[in-house]
Amino acid sequence: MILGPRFDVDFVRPAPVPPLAIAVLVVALVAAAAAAAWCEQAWRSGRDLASRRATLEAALERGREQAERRRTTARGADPQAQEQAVAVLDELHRPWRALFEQLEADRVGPVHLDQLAIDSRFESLQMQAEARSLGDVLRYVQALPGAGPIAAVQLSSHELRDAPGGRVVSARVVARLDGRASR
Amino acid sequence: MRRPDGWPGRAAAAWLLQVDDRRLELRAADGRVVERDDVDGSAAIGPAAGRMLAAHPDGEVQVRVDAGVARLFLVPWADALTSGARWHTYACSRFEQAYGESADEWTVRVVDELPPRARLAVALPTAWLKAVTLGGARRVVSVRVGLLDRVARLLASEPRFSGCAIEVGASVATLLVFVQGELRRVRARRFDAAEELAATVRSEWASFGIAASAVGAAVALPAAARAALGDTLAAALGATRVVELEPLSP
Repeated sequence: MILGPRFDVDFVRPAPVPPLAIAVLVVALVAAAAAAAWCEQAWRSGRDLASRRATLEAALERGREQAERRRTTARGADPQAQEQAVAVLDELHRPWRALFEQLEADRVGPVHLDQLAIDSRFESLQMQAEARSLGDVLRYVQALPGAGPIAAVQLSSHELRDAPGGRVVSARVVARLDGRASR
Repeated sequence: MRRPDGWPGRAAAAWLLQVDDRRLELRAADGRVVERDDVDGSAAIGPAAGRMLAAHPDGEVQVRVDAGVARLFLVPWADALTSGARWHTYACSRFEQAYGESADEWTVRVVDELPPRARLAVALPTAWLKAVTLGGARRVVSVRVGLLDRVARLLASEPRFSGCAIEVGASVATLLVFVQGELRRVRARRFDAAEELAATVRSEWASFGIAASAVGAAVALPAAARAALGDTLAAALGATRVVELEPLSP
């Protein structure tokens, strides 16, 4: 019963608290503790959500960086290699078949090809051909352009040459090619 | 401001205001009386205390009340009273029985005590208490009955003290009769001479069937009357031991 010194009476200290007030105080403390626990749980939940969001944002950022790196790598490829690749692709698409069909068509007459040279960009053609007469050569030059890669033909030079069985005309022909014609 | 031992974190009061039913004394921390004021009736104590403390605005104030201002009475132990609030209600009821007036205008405190000992109840007029504390402008940190503080110190050194603790006030003497450390009786007596007071003390001792030579007396006296009244009272009590209670200090 004695909690302190005997005859310890101080009128400034508050009077004994009624049990009802103590009960109210206890209820208030319990409510405060419950509220604090709820707040802590909510805070933890919020913190978990924030953590998940941060993780997702980090993953998204990593994905963006990887995509950017891939784009950068593609843009940064060797130009020479790219040019070679383009050249290979163009080589595969060149209309060789159409060119030879155009050179050997029936309508071009009795002219024999001795040499044929085409530049690497498939833009010009030089050939050495022989025929019995200059007229055959001229008809050939005029009939050659048409449906095919040969766009224009020019007789560059010609000469007469003795051959077994008679004299033949040897001509040098230059043609301009249009590679896109048969693609 | 000095701090007393055993009170860490709480500053000691700078002032001690000692109050009886006719006089106020304001003492500094070193014990010297800084101001004294005689009042006419208890109603004038509050305003006088307010004026006195307003003149010394710094520091906390402890108020020590003479037992003659308060009303002290015993409340018999009752096992059925299991809470402080019930004890307070019981003490107010005993107050009305003892003094024939309502306790509504009194502030009553009940002292803790070991069962089955009777518990001491102390009452101060509520209006007086408010006047003193509000007059101190919230600087009053305690209002205590000086006699009880002195008795508490005595019992701390002599737990089984048998005798009578007497506070001789301006007009009233308050007697607390102890038997083997237990407070058995509380009396307030007006007196005209020391012999009259000594006779009252001997009568109280006799009522308990205790020989006068077996008990002691603890006496607290007003400073002005200390020399003359103390010697007279000691002589009137015969062969008993007279212990002077410690003076109050802030």
